[in-house]
Amino acid sequence: MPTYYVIMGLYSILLVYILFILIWNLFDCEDFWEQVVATFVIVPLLLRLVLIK
Amino acid sequence: MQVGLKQITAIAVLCLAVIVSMVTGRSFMSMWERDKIVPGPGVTKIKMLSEYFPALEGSAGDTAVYFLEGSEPGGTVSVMGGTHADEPSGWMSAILIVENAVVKKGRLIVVPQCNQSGFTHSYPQEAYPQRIDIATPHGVRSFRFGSRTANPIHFWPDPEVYVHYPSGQNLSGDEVRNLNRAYPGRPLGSFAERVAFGIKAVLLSEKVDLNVDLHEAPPEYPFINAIGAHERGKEIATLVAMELQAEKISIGLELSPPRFHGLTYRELGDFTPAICLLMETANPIQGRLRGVTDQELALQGQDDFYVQAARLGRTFVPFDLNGWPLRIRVGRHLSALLKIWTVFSDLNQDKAFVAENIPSLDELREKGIGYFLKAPP
Repeated sequence: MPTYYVIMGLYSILLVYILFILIWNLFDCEDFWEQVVATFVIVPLLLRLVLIK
Repeated sequence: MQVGLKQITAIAVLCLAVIVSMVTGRSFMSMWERDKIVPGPGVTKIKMLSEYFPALEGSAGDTAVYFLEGSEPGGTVSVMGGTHADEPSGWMSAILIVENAVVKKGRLIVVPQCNQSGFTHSYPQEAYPQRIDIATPHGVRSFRFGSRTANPIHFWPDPEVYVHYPSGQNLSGDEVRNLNRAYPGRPLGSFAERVAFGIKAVLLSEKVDLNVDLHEAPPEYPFINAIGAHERGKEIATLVAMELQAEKISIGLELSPPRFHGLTYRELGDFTPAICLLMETANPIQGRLRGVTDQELALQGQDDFYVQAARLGRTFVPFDLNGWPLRIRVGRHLSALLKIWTVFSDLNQDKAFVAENIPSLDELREKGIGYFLKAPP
């Protein structure tokens, strides 16, 4: 079980990092449709971060 | 800091993403809530699988074990449903038994959802409905439509090759989560092996004489609308198949292949004194040839692609516009079960088992499943 927590911890850190980059780029992006398309990536990553334990 | 248009749209898009996540997340989490099964008049006690194998306590593998005990002594028989959560006739038959059956002689043990973990997710890329809703006289009862295997969240990662214990048989890696490839199980094994070990413990502790595991198969699969038997169950299975054929219920017969390991009717037959049988009905939602995959297909079992496939001789069951509705599949399982118990009792009169009030195929055809489902408290 400790291995599981270590792997899931690292996985969660990686997810937070990717989400941070995505949201940073979302605020930096000039094209509205590119911002909308970003939701297709943000939603599954958010769900993974919150719901996968 | 000045807020420009792109920041406003970014905030709007982010809010949209959060709202979509909340809606889909809620739907996702609804699969974690266990189905309500209403104990019927015949249920005398309810135990949990963890009472037989404490390591399962509090885990996703723990599941309810229902006891229906008669006033007269007799044999002990068991029924397993939900080994594969995407085979609804199996678990629905077990639920109807729990909610309706009254045992007169002997004891009946029912595990309606053997693989609880399988009910917490649906199979990726299959477009399966998350639930099936059945209208009853008291309102709609909703049941989860799960997956063939345990949820990867409960056992991860899959190995490249699943090596079955103790036979050493090699299977594809994802079969490590398939409960019906995990028997006889072991206490420190994979998730599925631990659940299998618990179920084997029920059969051993309760001295079960006869166990029947209820399944479904795609119409293009050869072992379908059939009864499968361990060597010690071949006499019962043969007599039951003959009697059902005489009643115009077409059913095939297969002996459990001795070198195909991990299945209930092989391993529980080898590792417990119980006579073990397994039954299959035809479920088009599981098949590769199906069209639109939705709740309607799960309930009504009607599919134009399968009608065409049957015309071309590509199915192992007849398939016309009527399809294979769930009520018919459940009726087949229950009628066959009644026949199995009768034949078992005739052959083992000191272990006779008699149960009443179980819906028959004709009753289910006429009234539907909902009529026999009880109102939740």
